[in-house]
Amino acid sequence: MSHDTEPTAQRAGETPNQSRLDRYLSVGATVAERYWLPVWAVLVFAFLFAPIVILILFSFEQGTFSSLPWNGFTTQWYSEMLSDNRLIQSTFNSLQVAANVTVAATILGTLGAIALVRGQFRRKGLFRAIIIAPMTIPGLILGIALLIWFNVIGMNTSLLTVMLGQLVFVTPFVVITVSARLRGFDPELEEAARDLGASKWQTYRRVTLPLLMPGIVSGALFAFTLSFDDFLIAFFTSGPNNTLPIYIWSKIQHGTDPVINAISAMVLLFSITLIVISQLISR
Amino acid sequence: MVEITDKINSKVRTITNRIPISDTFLVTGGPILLLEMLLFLGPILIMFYIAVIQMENLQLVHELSLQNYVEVFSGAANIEAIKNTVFLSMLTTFTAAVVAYPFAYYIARHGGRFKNQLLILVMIPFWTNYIVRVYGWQIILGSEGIINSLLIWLNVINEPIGWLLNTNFSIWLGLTYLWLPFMILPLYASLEKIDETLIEAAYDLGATRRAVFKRVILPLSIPGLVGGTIFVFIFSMGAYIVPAMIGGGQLFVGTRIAHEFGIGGDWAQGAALGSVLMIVVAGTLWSLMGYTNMEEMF
Repeated sequence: MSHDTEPTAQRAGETPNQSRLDRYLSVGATVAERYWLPVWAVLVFAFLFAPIVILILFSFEQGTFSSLPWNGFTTQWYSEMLSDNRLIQSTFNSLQVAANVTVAATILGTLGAIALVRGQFRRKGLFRAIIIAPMTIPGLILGIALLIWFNVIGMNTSLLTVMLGQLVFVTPFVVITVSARLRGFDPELEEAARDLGASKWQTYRRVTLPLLMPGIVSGALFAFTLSFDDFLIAFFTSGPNNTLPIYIWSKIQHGTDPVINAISAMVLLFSITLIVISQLISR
Repeated sequence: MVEITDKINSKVRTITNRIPISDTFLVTGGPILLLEMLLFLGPILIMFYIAVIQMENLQLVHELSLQNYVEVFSGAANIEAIKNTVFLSMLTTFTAAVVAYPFAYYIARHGGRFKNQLLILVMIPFWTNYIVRVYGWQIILGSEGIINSLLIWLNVINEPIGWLLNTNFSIWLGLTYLWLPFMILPLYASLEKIDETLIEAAYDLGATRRAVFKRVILPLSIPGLVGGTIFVFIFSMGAYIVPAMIGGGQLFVGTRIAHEFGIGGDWAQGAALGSVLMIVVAGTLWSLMGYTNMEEMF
């Protein structure tokens, strides 16, 4: 912090008037330099949270158009939301898909992380690339590629194909989360357990797994959120079944409706809760 | 009771001790490898194949030809969409870098004891439902939306501003918004790692603020900048939600692809567009991945 201010020495050979202006300017520059970073940070946060805050606020707005001035407070849209059967069905579908994907991705991802960090084999670079690539590819490409694939191998699209498709990009996130944790602890802890007479199974259950647990839990929570929020894979591979994001999407296509604000607010608060829990666990 | 469980435990132990749990690749790395081969590499390869055959009357006809690729680069709508997508992706990447750099720098170097809390605040938009957040922008930017209704209410304008929504402007804003955290997080990771003593040493040796930034901080943050660029550029090139929801009828590669797989009904044509996109993605990764560490970013 001590370097944030630069000396504003008065130069010789200037008239008093000029130097006063100069001094004001340089004081201004110093103030700007000292404060523009925090101001910028506040602006960026405002930008990032603008739609989130707006949606939550306007889910309580009386008017059917989400516009200003504010018409009054209501919880009408929430009660309308709760009586929407298709919404409840698609939420249930999403929860079911996310639960299955989470369990599978957590198991596969944890094993994959052990291979990535502890494994000693040739072509580890290739293995790493195959794990990272699905995270970097746009969901649209993965979605259409999976749609073609299921079609070619003759598998009817349903919630099962959604789960399989989501596993492709969700599992790598678990691998990355768990392997970060795995790198953080000393393999000698495991060796010490073995030296003291623990079997492989005991070492695994009593040493490795407890130490990895925070990474595994936060990986699982990430997996759940990713699956619950996924639209693109589900959009192309869900067949006749709706997940929640698909239902929201189709509702948006029919025009603005304050009920969407209420649904959005619930979805946002649900995800935010999961993220905060996961961050508190992993740090 | 205790005896039985002991017996079972010892049985389990003998069995599991015979399976080499952590040192065989087949058990640990095998399942995920199988998953990615069957449901990632397989589908991508089949997409490249479908791109070189034809689709007639909603049926795939297995005749090899490059006709679909010719159409990708000669069809007027496709050319326009590719130009628009490349231009907006580059603009978005540049904007995201300019917006994210000072922000990440501030959190990383001046965040103090609130660093982690601020970082969680960045993570929240990163992990929450993107359809819902883009819909939020639709509400903000629409002709009867928050901005226009506020300005009309305050008598600043009489007619709603039309170019806020369903234009290239809204696509640019939406893409920058959606991918900004992907630029912030890698930048933060690399800026946070810079050793304070290096910066102090530079000042002690008489460097100005500008010189310290240009010769110490910027070069050391290149991995983060490259990592962010990879994500923002690739995701913008492959974007579908933003152009479809707030892009109006603006031509965009993502919406063209989805169109071919939907009412367009020409999967082969869509696959060709998808393959071109995939090649761009792979090329970007190939040329830039060496400058960054992808695993450290999350």
